[in-house]
Amino acid sequence: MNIIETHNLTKIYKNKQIALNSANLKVPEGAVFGLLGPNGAGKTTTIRLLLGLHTPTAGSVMVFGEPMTPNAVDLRRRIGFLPTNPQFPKEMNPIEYLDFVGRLCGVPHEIRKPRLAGLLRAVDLLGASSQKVKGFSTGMTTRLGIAASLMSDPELLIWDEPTAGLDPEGHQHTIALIEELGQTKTILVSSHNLSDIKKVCDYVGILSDGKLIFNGLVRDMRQMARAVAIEIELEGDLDGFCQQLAAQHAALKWERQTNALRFSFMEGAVLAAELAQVLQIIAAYPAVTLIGVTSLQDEIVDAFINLLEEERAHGFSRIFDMAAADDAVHGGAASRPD
Amino acid sequence: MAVLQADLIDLTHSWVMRIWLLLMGFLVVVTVANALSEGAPAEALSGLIGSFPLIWSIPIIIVSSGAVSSEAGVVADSILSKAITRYEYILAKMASRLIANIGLYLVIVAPAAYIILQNVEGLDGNGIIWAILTIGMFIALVTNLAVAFSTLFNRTLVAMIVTWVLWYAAGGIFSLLQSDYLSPIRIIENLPDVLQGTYQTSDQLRILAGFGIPALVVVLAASLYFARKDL
Repeated sequence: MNIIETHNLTKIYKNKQIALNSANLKVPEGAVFGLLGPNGAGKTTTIRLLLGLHTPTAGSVMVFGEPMTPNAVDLRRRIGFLPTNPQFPKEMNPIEYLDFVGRLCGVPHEIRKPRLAGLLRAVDLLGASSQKVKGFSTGMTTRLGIAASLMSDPELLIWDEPTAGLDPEGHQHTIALIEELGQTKTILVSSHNLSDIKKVCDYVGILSDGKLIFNGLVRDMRQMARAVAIEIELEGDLDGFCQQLAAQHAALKWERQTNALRFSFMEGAVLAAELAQVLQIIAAYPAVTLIGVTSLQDEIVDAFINLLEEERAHGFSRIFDMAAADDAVHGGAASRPD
Repeated sequence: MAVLQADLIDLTHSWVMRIWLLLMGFLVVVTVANALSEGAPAEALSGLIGSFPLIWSIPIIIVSSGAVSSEAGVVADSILSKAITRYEYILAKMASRLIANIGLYLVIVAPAAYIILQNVEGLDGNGIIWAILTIGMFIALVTNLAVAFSTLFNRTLVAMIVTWVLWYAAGGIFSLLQSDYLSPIRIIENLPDVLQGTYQTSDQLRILAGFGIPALVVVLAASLYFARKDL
């Protein structure tokens, strides 16, 4: 079952700016879903549409199988939202704010008070519990936002750039928290930081210029990486080794660094077999000693860049993708003229 | 209720409300002293009550036009992303501003009227109630109007200026048209008579309807608009 499902979700602001274009997003139950995209790709717009804070220009949003609207209180009660750089009532302190959020979400008094105390302790804001929110740093504000999103113990968490503005320790704690919460809740987390998504997400959606260009398993996305590269650090007669490599193994693609060689393997290559071949060549040349082997390739980064490049390279032929989407909506077969 | 309560607490911290209360307290003392010493209670009390549509509509508009626009970023992040409908939010905001403005008006006017009524002859109890009700409805309309503009504009200053301009322009136009039921000047001029018991109940009901119906229409229009607004 999909906890979130959008159909041709489109948002055009005041007939001036297309923020989201026919997005068909699917977030399965129990998934930790990463919404990836460069700045301005439409991540925050998507999230605001999912929460009913914005109304779609076209298309629909289903959350928990029900349509999301600005007045869908019962749906939002089941969602914990963390906005990017959140803004809170400035005159409230964290206890007052979390109590306020708990009341808005209908959490009974006897549950609300111990829960807010526990959450403030968890996000390390006990020491600042009497301070007004207006004096908070970015990191403290984000931590309070995390606590607020958990006040109603929601089934679905939607966190928009949760690590923005956090120090390295806070960043690490947030990633660990997502991993832990992901065991019991469905989480949608938006980020432009690929390494965060790679660490915690099992599903990913990629937005580029308001278009959802990928929606699926992280595993499937990794396979879209075109090439892999490794760096082999060597000691000894590197010049001689390079000459032999160029003369006897012309098929290999490599480049010399100061004390290392960088090998690139093309799409579809079996890395283990290619690496074994390179290591055999090194073993057969005793004048060099192997110091270390490092993978240079981040498959996720590569796949992400590939997807963005492919989408842009599609050019005007993107119009056929659009026609196919229209046909799918109207039940017709997708066709592409010759 | 959570939004209403939080907003009322917020208003108690407002410097505009505090200064307004102090100035009004001073005015009450002057009004009561004047009524007791000069023996013209209807004129003195109508001066106090009648100052609300003319002078005290300024703090009323200041207090009300920031209801939504002053927390433009907070509304989406901290409130409407939670389990609350747009209607509940806007109605809570209007209710809190009405409670603050009409509450302060009653706290000022009711004791002054009571003291004058008890100590000086020439005032009619029912007339006082009608006069207080009429100006109360006046305050309700300007409050709702300011909150409505606060949903329309993201800047409090713009909402404030638009409400002021509209309020005083409408008052001026109705006065020029010599409307008996919608002209603030006419109504203020008639206050001494009403306070002394010289009035027609049907006229007073028309005046109440003249302000009450637009006040309700403004609530409805603002709610419908806000329910569709992108936050």
